Amino acid sequence: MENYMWLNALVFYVFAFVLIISALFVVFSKNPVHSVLFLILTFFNASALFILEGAEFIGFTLLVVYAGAVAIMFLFVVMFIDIDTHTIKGGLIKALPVALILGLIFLAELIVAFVSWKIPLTHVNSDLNLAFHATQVSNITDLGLVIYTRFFHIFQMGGLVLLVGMLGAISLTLRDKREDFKTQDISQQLERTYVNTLRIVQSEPQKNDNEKKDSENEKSTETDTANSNSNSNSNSNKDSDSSSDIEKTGEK
Amino acid sequence: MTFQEFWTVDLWPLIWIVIKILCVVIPLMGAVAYISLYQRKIMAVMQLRKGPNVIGPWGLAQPLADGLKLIVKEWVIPAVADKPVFLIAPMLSFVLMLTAWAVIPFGAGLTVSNINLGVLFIFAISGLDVYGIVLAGWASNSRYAFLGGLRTTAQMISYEVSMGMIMASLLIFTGSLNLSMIVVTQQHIWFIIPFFPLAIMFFICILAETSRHPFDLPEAESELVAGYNVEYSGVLFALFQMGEYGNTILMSAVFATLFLGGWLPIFDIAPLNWIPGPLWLIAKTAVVVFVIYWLQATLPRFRYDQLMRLGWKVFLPLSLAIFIILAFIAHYNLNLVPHIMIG
Repeated sequence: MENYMWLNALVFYVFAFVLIISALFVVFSKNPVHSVLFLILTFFNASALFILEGAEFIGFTLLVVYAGAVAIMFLFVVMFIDIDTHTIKGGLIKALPVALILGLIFLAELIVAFVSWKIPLTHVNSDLNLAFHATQVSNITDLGLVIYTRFFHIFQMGGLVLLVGMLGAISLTLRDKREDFKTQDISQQLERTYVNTLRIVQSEPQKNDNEKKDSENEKSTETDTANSNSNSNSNSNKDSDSSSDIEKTGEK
Repeated sequence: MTFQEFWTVDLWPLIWIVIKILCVVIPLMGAVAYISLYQRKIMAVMQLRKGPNVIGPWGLAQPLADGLKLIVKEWVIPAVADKPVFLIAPMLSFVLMLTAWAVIPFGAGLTVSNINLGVLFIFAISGLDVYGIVLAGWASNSRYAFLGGLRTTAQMISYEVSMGMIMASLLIFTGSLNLSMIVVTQQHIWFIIPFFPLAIMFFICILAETSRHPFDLPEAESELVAGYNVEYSGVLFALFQMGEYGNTILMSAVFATLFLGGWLPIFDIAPLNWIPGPLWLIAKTAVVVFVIYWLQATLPRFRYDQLMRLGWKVFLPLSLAIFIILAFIAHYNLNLVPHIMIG
């Protein structure tokens, strides 16, 4: 393990450097789509750092969940909405003092935490040998052993948060059920057979009272109205599915 | 530290990694080139044509000619395109395809990187594949390309979810996410036999994930011209094509590894187990690829809403239900599935 110390350090610094640079570009790039792309690069580098430190599971999960799904949703939204970048940039300058203060506080907290946090060197798992042979301890096994036993309640709380998020998403998209748009019922479509779809209708348009009136009013479009009337009549009798085209041919 | 130590301890392992990578990538490039010929020949036979037969004997030099043509051709970058993103998109889709091959086991111990979370690695990388296409669609600044990109985004994300559930269902029985371990678990019986419904669902998810027929909505020729890659030409277009063909092979190899016993022979008897593992994997992959192109010649394209309906309303509930049922079986150790050791 110690053999790859220098290599490990090199890889770490490359990823960390790109991580910080891309995180800066998330804020400073002019095009919002580029911002999201840099955010994805940031996720990617962060997951590489996790993997480098031996937390492969967290690294891959970060990649699957954030880079693979969450960021793509950001990208989707940003691509769709034409954002006026000037107003956003104005907001950035206005918020700069507050952001700087908050940033400094967080930085100070991190420094305090890391100075007092002494990790024994033996625990540092420099796992570039991941690439050579499977490590004996799989950290997904470790995680599985504790997450459903020792940290069961925290796990359940996490699930609850996800449930709330899911309900929120559903309630946002679920409006009053609209009646005015057409959908297709696939089972109904599949049930259609030759026998109960095709019907030869022998209608004599002149005998119908309503149609008589219509034809008297508009003699020039006599045949058209007759057609449409007979269609609407037959549609109300049958399934909405039955095709009116066939009946037209039947009439002719 | 002497040079000797530096060489044996530090440098040689690195060089060894590079050699292993080349051992996978170079044959893969050949496979990517010739799979286009494979596809065209299959399609030709199914449509009673001859297929490419002019360049070389039986058209065998056709992929080389195509490659040469695309390399020599001029690149046209649209004036309104977002140039850096436009250039990055095809590279991304090609590189991600190559990356995922790192964990595919070609034989006992024959992988570039035998990591414990191989399945998760494949899953993560195939989840990132969508960026190549969606970025191409956006950066081209063209309506057709953009529509293709948006369709892909929704399509890939939808099917990824059920694909993950199907993989998780298998993992209950393998007890490991290591692809080599998954193959070894199938020594007694290939997973396609006890988990046949899962295999079918996984195959359909592969089709949607790599946007093959009947789910090739991102590049639906008849409605979107060529979808996301309509503005691409020359080498950039070639990179997209190679990425696509490579992904088809990759996902077929993943299918072969998860369900068809990877490098294992059909029966573990004398003449069959003399054939080396990599050849078995290649043969199984070729069969899966054949089925994909068979479908391409057979089925009409799905409509977009049908695709979404299938993904979210059919596959997701079904794969969740199967996951729970299999977890139940595994927990109570019901011996419904013969010969599979429960991890």
